[in-house]
Amino acid sequence: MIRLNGAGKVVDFVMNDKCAAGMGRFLEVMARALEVDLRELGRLSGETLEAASISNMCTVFAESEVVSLVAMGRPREEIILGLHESVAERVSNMAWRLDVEPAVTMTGGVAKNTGVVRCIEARLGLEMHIPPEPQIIGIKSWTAL
Amino acid sequence: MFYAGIDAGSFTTKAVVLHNEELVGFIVMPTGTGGSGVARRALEEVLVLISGVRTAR
Repeated sequence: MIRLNGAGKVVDFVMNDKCAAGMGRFLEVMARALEVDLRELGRLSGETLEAASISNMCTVFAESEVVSLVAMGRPREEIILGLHESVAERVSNMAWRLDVEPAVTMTGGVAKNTGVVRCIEARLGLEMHIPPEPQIIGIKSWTAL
Repeated sequence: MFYAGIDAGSFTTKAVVLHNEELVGFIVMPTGTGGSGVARRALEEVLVLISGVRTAR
């Protein structure tokens, strides 16, 4: 997460210090455990308001937690919303550390997950700008220079 | 003028082609364990995508 000044220069940044927690890989693993297409996560989580509580931050432990929730009959939509909330919680904590303020842009593959985007926006109380192809925005900007 | 860019990440490799700052094609593929070969392959794939012509190897 990078904080820029008005001239587009880097002022400060924070990086995820909790292994794969909160990264796209986390969601990839969970989608596989739930036998759901990664691209469907956003839509599915939008079909419920009830989030399952996911207490483990570790990708491996959270995967077991997800499998247990499935076995207990918890609807997968609620599990997915819980996963999105857990990612959003970590991301917004990082954002607070940088004194986040508009305008905020989200890049990377996770920005294609509308569920995660909604959860982060709700926590930060702002709307984020999502580029049309968030996975390639970095290299696209550099190539244009 | 056409420009190509490659982002060789640890997990995925991306290649983009711009024409006068306009995005004309891109590809995202797993980096895998192929080393620098994947960067070449990404560039080749994105060129195929936009032109249907393969680059000489």
